Amino acid sequence: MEQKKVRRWNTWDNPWLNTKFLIGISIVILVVLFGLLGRIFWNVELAYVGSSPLNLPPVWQGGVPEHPLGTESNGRDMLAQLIVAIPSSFKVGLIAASVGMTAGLVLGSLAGYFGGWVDAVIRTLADAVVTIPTLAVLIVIAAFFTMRDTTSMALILAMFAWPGPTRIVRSQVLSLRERGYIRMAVLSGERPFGLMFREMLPNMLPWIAASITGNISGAILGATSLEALGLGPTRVPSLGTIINQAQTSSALIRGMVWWWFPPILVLMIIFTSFFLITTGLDEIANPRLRGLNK
Amino acid sequence: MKTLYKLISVLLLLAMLLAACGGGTTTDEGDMAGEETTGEETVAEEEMAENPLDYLNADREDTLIVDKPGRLQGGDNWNPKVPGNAVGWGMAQLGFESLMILNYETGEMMPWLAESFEGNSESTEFTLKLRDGITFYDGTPMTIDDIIYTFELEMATEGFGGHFTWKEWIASIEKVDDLTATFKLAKPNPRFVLDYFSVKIAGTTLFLPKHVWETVEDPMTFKNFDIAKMYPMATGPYMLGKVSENEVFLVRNDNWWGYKTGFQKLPEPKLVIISYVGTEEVRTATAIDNGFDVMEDITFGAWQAIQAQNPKWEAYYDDFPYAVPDPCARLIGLNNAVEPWNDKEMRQMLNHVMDRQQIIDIAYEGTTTLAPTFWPSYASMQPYTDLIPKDKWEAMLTPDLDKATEILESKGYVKTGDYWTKDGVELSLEIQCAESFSELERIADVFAEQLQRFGINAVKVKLVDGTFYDNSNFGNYEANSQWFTCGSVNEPWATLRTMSGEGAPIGETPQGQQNVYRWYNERYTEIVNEIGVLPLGDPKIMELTAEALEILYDELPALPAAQAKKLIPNNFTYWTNFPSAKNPYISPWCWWTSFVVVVVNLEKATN
Repeated sequence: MEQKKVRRWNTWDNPWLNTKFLIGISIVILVVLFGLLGRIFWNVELAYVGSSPLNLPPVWQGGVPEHPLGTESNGRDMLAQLIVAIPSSFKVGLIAASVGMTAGLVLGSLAGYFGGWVDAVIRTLADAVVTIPTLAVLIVIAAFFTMRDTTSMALILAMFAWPGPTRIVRSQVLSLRERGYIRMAVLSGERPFGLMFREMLPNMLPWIAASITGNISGAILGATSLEALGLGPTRVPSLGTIINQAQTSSALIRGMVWWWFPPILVLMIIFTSFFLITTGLDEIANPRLRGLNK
Repeated sequence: MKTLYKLISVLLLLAMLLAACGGGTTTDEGDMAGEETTGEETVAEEEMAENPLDYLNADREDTLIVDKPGRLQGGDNWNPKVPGNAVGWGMAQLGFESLMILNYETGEMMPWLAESFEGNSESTEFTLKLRDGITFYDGTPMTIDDIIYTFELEMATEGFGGHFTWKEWIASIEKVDDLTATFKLAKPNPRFVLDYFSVKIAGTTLFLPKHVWETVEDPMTFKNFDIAKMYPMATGPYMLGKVSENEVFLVRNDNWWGYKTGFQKLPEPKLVIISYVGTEEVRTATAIDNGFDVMEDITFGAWQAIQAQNPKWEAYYDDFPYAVPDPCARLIGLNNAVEPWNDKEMRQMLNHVMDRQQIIDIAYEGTTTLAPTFWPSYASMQPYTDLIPKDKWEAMLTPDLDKATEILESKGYVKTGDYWTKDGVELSLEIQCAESFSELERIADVFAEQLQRFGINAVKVKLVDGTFYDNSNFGNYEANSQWFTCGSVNEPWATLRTMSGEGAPIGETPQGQQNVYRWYNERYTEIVNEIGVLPLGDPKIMELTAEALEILYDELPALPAAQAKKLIPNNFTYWTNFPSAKNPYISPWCWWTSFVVVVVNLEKATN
């Protein structure tokens, strides 16, 4: 019987050439580059209070070329604010998601592999934390602690970013530990740590990649919410802080669209791109989703 | 028929004569704000409610809505003598009343609950005579016993606001008759009436009904909140009708003594709502939508938005600067009990970094003036302002970063990276501000940025109002953006006093809640005490004030930041006759006890 030839690595079958993933990652790279390279081409000192004339509209509305996106009522240049704010918001997302994911990996692996009381304790804790209304608690914590910088805010967000990954890693480990290669590794004398992080972890990488992008997006949303409520660090601009300052200074009602709209637009772009990356990674990791089973 | 017409004509004539003679009795306290009229002339009986709570359903055109920029806290506590109460939400303005009201606009001291309150030539004895006919909401007459009882209770209860003040000043109170008492002071105080009983700035002494409070077991924990019993029991033209999460409803007291005695007319608004709606953005939108009639204070930008979208709103001035000069100068308060700010050179260093003109340009968008004083830059204060040492004054007009650097280097600080450090520890400053004062927040923002640029890691921290005041009183702060040297408007003592006094450790409130800066200078306190007993206008006051200012501007326990202005617009859609530069019958402050004068004088726009 003639065996059907399967072309797995044809140019268009390469899973990493997933359109959604590529569009998403390209947008993220562009946004990050805007934040990183902008510092080379634009004076970011203009992002701070009193560095520029007040309330200038953008250049296409009669403003001046020195402040192409306009300025706000505390004398901050909008372009410089965005250049500083974008990496700042990404930083919060990356730190919170990384810490949350690392904790989730460790706890989920322990719970799934050892089972018994270890599993009971970790699972109960994770289930309990998941039910807590995160934003409300974050508001209380943020009001109590002084947010001097974005790192402290990211760490506070990370406190609530671990239960999701923990639960999912646990379920993955529960499934993986029954696989033959794991049993073989056990028979070969591999220790639990090696089993969890040398044998099982590589098999979870596609899922981890998809999950962490979702977590980054969630952390950015959490941080932006706190900042928009006025609970974030106030000096270093971030996307949420700009929205908060625009709101408290009546920018909307004063018709200063150039103050409140750019950070919202950037957030929309960021969230859309992360959504595309997550969906794309899902398709890369799961052949059924990209139609290879047809 | 002709006889009948003659009879009718005579009867009509007689009726008119009777109406003219008996229609109203005027009293001889003629110089009050607004003309004294009888209530019958202005309010028909059928417009009155049998139950004041019926006014909770008043129509919009019968309702006055007053904006409040901060959240309601302690909405179940209407005990006016304990911290954290809610009386500032309308009851302090329209429920409780002051003995006297100082009219900033005319300079006149207006007797209100008092008929007179005068001192002897040594300012050691003051005689208070109450008006006849004052009653509480339940009809119980207010007599001098209620006044004496309030002082006695306050002096006996350490946690009450005026406890230390009255213990300091009052030696004894003697009842003369049901309406009269004589206060003997422990030491002369020429400002006794001005400072404590005349709404000099915002507040005044509020009096308690003896028949209610003498039944109270613990005055400190008594909430004074029971609408069915008409608590908080007071005497004013409005009483508490309802309290919701962010609104307080005050209903008109048709039996107000002021109306019944012909002292004032019955105010036209049947319902007054004090309302918090959220951020300035939301407040502005609410104002444009006629959701407010009076706004407490807004930024210049918000005013531009309101003016552009609802022409019925008017500011105190028709044109720039629109705002009214505020009697409380703005400062960056420093906690002199914590390192390194317990070192006067470090405080001077901060002063050299402060660029006051930039604070005015940004935080006030240019709507105020440069005058680094602890008191307002009123013309009446200019002779005292002129006593500030010239070199110190000049040094405060422009920043001097070289001098600031010199001081830090002499203290062993080195600039490593972005910040000054000493022994590896970064020099930082946390500036606290209250969430309801966007103006003070903006000052903190600008100053923090100036410090950052110089190399001090300064941050602004926004706190809920209650926490902000507690931190200030108990010394749990490094720096704060505030106005606590408020006091002087026509003489220097009241402001100078706010920085004098004995030491209080962190965690305890300084005596009389003064000197929250915890800066204790013996000579300065001596001078302030000496000025305090001199009669107003005594030439020695100038000499002593000059010496006090020399110490103050050398030590700088706090840093004067800006003269304040308040932009308080009014909506003429439903109500007219708000005070303004064109019609300056009283100051426009809606959070002051003098606001009762405004409300009494309001007229319906439909009239």
